[in-house]
Amino acid sequence: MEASAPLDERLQAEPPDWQPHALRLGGRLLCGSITFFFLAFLFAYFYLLALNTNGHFRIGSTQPPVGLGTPIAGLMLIGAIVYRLAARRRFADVLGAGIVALVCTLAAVALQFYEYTTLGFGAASGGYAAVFFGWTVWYAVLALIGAFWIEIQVASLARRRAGGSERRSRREGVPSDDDELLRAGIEASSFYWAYFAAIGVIAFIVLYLV
Amino acid sequence: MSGDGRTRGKGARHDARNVTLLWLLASAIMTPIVVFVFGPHLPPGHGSNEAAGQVVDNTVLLAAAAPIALGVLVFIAYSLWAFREREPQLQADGVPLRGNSSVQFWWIVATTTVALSLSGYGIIRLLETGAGGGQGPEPIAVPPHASNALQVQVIAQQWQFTYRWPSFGGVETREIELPAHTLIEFNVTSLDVIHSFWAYQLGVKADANPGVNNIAYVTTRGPLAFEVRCAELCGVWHGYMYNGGQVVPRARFASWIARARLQYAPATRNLSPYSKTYFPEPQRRAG
Amino acid sequence: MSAIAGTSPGLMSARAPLWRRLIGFNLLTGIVLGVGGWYLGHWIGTEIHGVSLAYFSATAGENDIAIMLGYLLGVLGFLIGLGFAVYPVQRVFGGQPTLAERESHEHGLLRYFSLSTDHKVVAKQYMVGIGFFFFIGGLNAMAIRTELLQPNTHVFGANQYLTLVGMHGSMMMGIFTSGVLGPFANWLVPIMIGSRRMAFPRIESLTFWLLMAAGVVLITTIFFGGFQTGWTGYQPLGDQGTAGYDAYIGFFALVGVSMTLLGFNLIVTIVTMRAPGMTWSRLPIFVWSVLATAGLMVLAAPTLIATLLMAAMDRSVQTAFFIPGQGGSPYLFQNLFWVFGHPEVYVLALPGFGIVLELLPVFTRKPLWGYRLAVAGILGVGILSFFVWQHHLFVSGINADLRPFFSLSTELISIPTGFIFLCALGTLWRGRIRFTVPMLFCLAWAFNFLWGGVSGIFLADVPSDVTTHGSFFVMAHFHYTIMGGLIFAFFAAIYYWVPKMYGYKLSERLGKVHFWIMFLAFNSTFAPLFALGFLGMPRRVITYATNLQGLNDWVSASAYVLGLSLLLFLVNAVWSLVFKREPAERNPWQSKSIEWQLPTPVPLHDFEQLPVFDGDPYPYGDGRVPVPAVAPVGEGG
Repeated sequence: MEASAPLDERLQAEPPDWQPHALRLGGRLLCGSITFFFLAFLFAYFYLLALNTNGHFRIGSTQPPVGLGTPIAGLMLIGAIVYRLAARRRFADVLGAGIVALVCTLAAVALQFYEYTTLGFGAASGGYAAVFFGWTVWYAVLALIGAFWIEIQVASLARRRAGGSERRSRREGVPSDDDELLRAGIEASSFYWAYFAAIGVIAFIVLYLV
Repeated sequence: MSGDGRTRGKGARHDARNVTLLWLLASAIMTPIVVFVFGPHLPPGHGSNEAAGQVVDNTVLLAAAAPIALGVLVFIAYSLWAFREREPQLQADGVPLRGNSSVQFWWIVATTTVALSLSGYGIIRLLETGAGGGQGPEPIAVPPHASNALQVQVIAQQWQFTYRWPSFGGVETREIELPAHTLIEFNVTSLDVIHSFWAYQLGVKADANPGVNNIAYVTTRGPLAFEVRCAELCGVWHGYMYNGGQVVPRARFASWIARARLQYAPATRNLSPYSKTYFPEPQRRAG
Repeated sequence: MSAIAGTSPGLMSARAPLWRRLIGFNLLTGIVLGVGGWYLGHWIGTEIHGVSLAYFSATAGENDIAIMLGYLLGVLGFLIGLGFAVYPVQRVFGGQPTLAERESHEHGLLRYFSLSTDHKVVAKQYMVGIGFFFFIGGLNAMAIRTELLQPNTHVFGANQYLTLVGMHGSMMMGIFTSGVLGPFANWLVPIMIGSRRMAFPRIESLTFWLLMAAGVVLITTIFFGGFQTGWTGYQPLGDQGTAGYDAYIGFFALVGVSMTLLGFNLIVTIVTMRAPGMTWSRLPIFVWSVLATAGLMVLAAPTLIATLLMAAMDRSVQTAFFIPGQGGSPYLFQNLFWVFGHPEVYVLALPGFGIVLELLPVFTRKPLWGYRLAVAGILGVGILSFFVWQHHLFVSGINADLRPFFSLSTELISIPTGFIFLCALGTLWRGRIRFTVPMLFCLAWAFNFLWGGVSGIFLADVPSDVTTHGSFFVMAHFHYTIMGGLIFAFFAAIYYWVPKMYGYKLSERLGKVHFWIMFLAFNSTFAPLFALGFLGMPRRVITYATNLQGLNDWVSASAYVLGLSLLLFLVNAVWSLVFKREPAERNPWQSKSIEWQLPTPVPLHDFEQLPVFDGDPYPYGDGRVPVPAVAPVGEGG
């Protein structure tokens, strides 16, 4: 089997719009997945409320402080809005916006854990308490995991600003336009983050206000 | 193009006709067999009104399923015989049929009609008396005169069924006897995990959920012996969670329950008061 | 697509000594770090346990937090050892996105024991990995049938028996949900749509290794007392269970993540990476079925993960999601579980539909009949599967108003399923049927799934469900649909595609013997279960009424024969692929699908020039050249 040219030059490159498109679609699919994840908790809240088995939907006083819940949800929302708005404009703004989003996330998570220590009820205080702890804990965990995605965009932007991007060869099998990929990554992660923050707002409404 | 004689035209009409005739013939033979030979022996038997109702429903479903299954089987068998490759050395292709709107349309109509009819039939039958199934604390399929029903509470726990009789002082027995020709209202609940009260010959199946009152109605017929088995995995001895019960003439039931009342009076005094649900300390793992 | 023939520094050439090549990110390192992670997590959990007495109380010497943390850190260590952390860490520090991995230089077996971004390697990893756990699950089944030979003499203890039942169900339902998508979708989908890779190749590999970790976690249940809930894991029974139930939670949570990621990757690939000309109306029906299945996985699996996390919290921090005395409800678990559970069984059924409809045109030499109707059927089944879950709960005491709706929706799902049958029947009609081994398995699918589907009609009807719920009738129903349906389709796919995937022929004669024994033994095993259910035998029992012993013995004997037929397949596979190694022709089935136009073995890069699709995916009977046009590659393909 003779080849006149090295293989990696004979291979036709894949269309450069594939991977950015994949990133954008992936961001939206992730939104679908976390919807079904948190729907379980939403369903649990209303179902246990309706059944009120043994009168123990709430055992004792189980009202979390709105004064803490508001900043927790608010910080996530602000970070997501700032990041999303910047993502639709220019690269230059996104770096700062991404950092803002990260800081807001960390602050929200820290506040959440602080809130656990000051709550007047524990995990065993009935159906509501179970949903409260379940929803908030796993939301915080997913927030920390999701923050990595934003951090990667921020780090890539920082490196780009510092060293500029190089065109990589076809042999690495990705579109040579680094910027397209980065733009797609920012778009996807900001969409997901806005959606995730919206879920946080819904959680706040259901758990604190309803 | 294919090299056999079955091109469009006469060959095709032959095959379609053959399949249809074979199917009609098979259905005409098998459906009556299924209905009249198997039908009367279908579970759960005729021990109660609800059980007999289930037998009718099962027979109807079987009668509907028979032609459907036969249709598919006859078609496949015929095709495998008629359209098998007889000249492999030709390496020829079959007829490039990609679809037939008329066939598809009528198939959709037929299958939708069958599905909706069966579904409608089942729902109507369900809503008559509940068909012996557990309906939760607020049943909607309630037989007439349900307010006069004999209430029996079935308490499931790991790993036995016990029975409490609210109209007889709340006495709890380990055996169950029921009066003949009476409407019974089972109130099924559990003390720990999910079980299921399955009284086979009575055609009753109701899950026993802790903290829930699951109501099932049955109207007994003549005297018989029935088997009660747990039908939901409830732990290591699930397989051994069964007992027997009896439907007996009313007079015998009355004397039986009176004797039980007397016999268990000391125990009854120490029981928690009769309630639709109980909340004993949950058997939880700790940590 | 992975790095091609490059000169990336630092890669081991094939001539380095074995011991040197073993150092690095691979399975061995993964196992070492995994075990280390387990001990670390367990130690942390033990430390926590001692500290926060307000939430945890020490009884029975079992510490769920330690065990769950142990599993978590163990799996993380395992993945790190395999090398999954390298790229994310690079990106966190600003590294460029790249698809380059080192495996382009591995040509031997070591490829299969590491992180591979070649979709064909991942597919073969899946094939063997799933095969292994399927074998374990099958052994469990043989053990169960041995126990059921006699009602009152017991081979196993009651707890052991229930653990066997739970492991059998969990192995099959958890591991085998990726049974078709893992090996076959990963291998075929990129090629069928004209791509060289999946959208996220590392995630593709991650789904495989997660699944393997999950299987190992499940097996460790035997060291912690097993679990007594069966594969459905019902609470509050699960709350009582020994620490073995934590293994069940860990297993299914990992399976859930694997499923979510697999579905995610497949959807993105199919939507974004179709070559020019591969429009939706030209997509092979197998790819449609994969798309629908992936949709179910990506949405239903997260609900499972959330449910299991709730159960884990109930067990470890005493929340009351499912404990009625404390404000929870067992119905919550049942509902949440089946919201996942019902789409889950269609995750098992849909790929079977896709395989059969994909293969029938090849062996009838006709196009797929009613392509659009088949697509409608597949999508219809997928969508409807989310709306039927309460048919598992008809007699459980749920709100009685809901039962008519779910009875109707369950009955309605038979309509799109019927479309699949119509298309299969139409494809047979006036074809030129070749009775190859793959075709035999496809025909058996039709026969078995027919009985599975018809029995479903009984279960959809609430009064009839009162007769049969919780009995062996249900067992027969789902074994006919899942084993008789999916597994037979799976073997059709194996006999059909293995010559292309591995480049060696499987013995046709042994294949036919395997088929006939398996088909007859399967029906002999599971048909009597309908009768056993009708006669009043509940599920998951270790004893039964003595008059049912004859039937049970017949079933057990048939099950042994069924097991033997599968061993026969294993013999065929090992003998043909490892020892005899007779090279397969490029296109032994004269299929007109694109994967058969490629040379065998398929090169690393799949296509030199990306294909351009311009015709029907099933151009049989038209006398045309195979489509799509693929530039000649190498040896005159």
